[in-house]
Amino acid sequence: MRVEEKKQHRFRRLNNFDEVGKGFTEQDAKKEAERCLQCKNPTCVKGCPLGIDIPSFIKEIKEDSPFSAVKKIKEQNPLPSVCGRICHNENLCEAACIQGENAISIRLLERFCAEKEALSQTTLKKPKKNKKTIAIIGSGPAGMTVAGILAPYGYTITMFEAMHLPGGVLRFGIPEFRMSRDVVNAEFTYLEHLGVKIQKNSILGKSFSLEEMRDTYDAVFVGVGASIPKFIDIPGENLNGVYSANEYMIRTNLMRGNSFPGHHTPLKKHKKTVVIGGGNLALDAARTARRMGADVTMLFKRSFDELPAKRSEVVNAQEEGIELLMMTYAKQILGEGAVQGIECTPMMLGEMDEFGEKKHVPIEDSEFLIDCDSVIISMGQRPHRIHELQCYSNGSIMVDDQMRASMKGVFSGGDVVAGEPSLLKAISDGKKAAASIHDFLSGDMF
Amino acid sequence: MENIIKKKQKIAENTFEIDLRCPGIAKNARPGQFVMVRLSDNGERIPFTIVNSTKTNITLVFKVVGFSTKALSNLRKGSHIHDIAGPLGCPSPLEGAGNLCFVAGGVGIAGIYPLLKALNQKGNNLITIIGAKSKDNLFWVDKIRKESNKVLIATEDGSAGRRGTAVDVLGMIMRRRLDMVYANGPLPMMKNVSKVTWRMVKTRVALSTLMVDGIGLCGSCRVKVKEKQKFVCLDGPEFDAHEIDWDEIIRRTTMFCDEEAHASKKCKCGG
Repeated sequence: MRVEEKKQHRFRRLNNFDEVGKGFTEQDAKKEAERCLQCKNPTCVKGCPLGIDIPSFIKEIKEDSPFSAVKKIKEQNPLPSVCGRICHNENLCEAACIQGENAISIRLLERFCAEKEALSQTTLKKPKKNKKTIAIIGSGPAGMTVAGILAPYGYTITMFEAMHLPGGVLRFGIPEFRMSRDVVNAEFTYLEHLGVKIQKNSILGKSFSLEEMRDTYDAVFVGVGASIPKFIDIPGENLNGVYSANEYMIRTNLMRGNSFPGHHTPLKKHKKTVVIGGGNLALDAARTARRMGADVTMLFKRSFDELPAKRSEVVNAQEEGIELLMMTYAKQILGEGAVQGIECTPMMLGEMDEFGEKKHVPIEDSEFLIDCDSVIISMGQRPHRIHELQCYSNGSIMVDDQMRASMKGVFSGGDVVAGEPSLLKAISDGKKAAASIHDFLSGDMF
Repeated sequence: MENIIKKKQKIAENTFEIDLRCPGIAKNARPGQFVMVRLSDNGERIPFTIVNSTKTNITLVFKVVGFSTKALSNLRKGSHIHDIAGPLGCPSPLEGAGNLCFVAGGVGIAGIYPLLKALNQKGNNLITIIGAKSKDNLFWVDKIRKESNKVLIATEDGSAGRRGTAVDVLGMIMRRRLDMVYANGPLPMMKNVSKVTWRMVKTRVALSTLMVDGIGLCGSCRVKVKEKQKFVCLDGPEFDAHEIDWDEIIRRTTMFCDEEAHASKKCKCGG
């Protein structure tokens, strides 16, 4: 049987923004690690997009040496404390585990190791500097990965962040009840210790141009993410009380509007909030709104099984009393000036299309109303177009298999390349880009 | 040191002018752009138009309307500003040639200054109309006079210039051949300007809306322009006045009035 993670009580968590999952204790971790069969041909490793040597690190936990376990993880993943909290383990390594329903809680073991390391405060050697300089534009997970891998080689690295705090989506997008702010802070303390400089309030295309960067630095990594919110063009979208999920999360998470007026960014206390969308961000916004005291309903066009949000967080959301209305789409938002309600249409599976899939079609004349005073729209994001680089029509940057963009010495990765949010893609892109930047720069050297 | 207040001065009732040393922003600033300012770790991000810039300094002019602007007005010369990001938004395309008319009110009087300067250098004939409640709310008149061929002043109480609003004066001179009108000021005033010039003269306005980040992440500054969703921080702040859904944008700026009032016990909404 799986060792269950201890969680904050479902009533208590509505009154705070503390982490819901408490991770494993030493005993839990050991007990869980004991269950690992140490397969000769581990399927879990194939399930991990980063290729972490999972059986080896679990073995280290079994043998009471979590520090060597972290080392093992960090060979492939520079951000275990982040992945240990928000990785989509259910669909990846744990889905690939041969124990099926009783799969090992790999994510929680990873988190356990990372927490152990964070507590230990091991003194790090400062790397010896070489003469090459690297600019990393965007301080989200992709940029953090590149910096974390390349700083120990002694490169002089400067990270440019558009906002007033570094971390990108980890800072403003992931709510504190999923990942404490201390985790992100610790990652940056570590990077700064390695000599990485972080320059805040610096915006690509405004504070500096990409060409300027390329001329000043030996290599440039562009990891600016995809964060312009998409709207859905339904009537009433601009009524007062309609937010993009981004806006709602930035107000609460980054600007801490939840403690307004102590923090000065205003946030309204709504009574009833409807969230449109079914992704992680939608779910996070819904749970944040719930903590701000609203009754929350989530609308999703497809069925429960097709929800793209992380499964364990969907369970948490249900525990917190969020109503999930599946197979429903928002037709229009109603109200005079401010939101008063939302008109929805239920969907059903229609006829088979040419790909053999059943399409979702609205059921006619069955519209219904939900009374609400706020709506949060979470229908995805798109990247800022960077005009100096070759981009696809959706604005995402074109790169080759070594993450090289169309300008020499410029590399890119993460959401700005993928065009959609994915933490693991950002980390694996970062790894590839770091290797390729290292090649590029050391090639220059010799 | 960067982000230091070099000069602060009260220039009209409740209105302040500050010079900030921030070479990185000053070097890149173009007419029409703005900065986001954050005063402390607990602070909100507030947008301010860059109303003038030298090699190393930028000038901001603001009216005290709420908690954060009050806090900014209390800072002294030599104080350090926690965060300044910019220059943001699109620079003004500085459209139009020939007879151009500027209509300004409130802090917009300073907001038009960089455009005025740039368009004056191009050799246009510039008429500037300044509107204010009374003569106590007027500022920068001499500076603007230097950059315009003609300056008309209107005050609501008649204490300086003509009695009436800037829009009234605009109505009077509409008979002349105008090639372009620029307006900057409170949203209701700009809405009225766009009514007066509707179908007659092309009009451009600089919008001031709610903003959280100012770099396109949140969409709280969204506005319908020509029926399309636009972000003031990314696509603006300058737009064609006749394409804007004015009622919507005026309504949206009042969204957090109750909360703001709670924070500062005083609120002035609608621009």
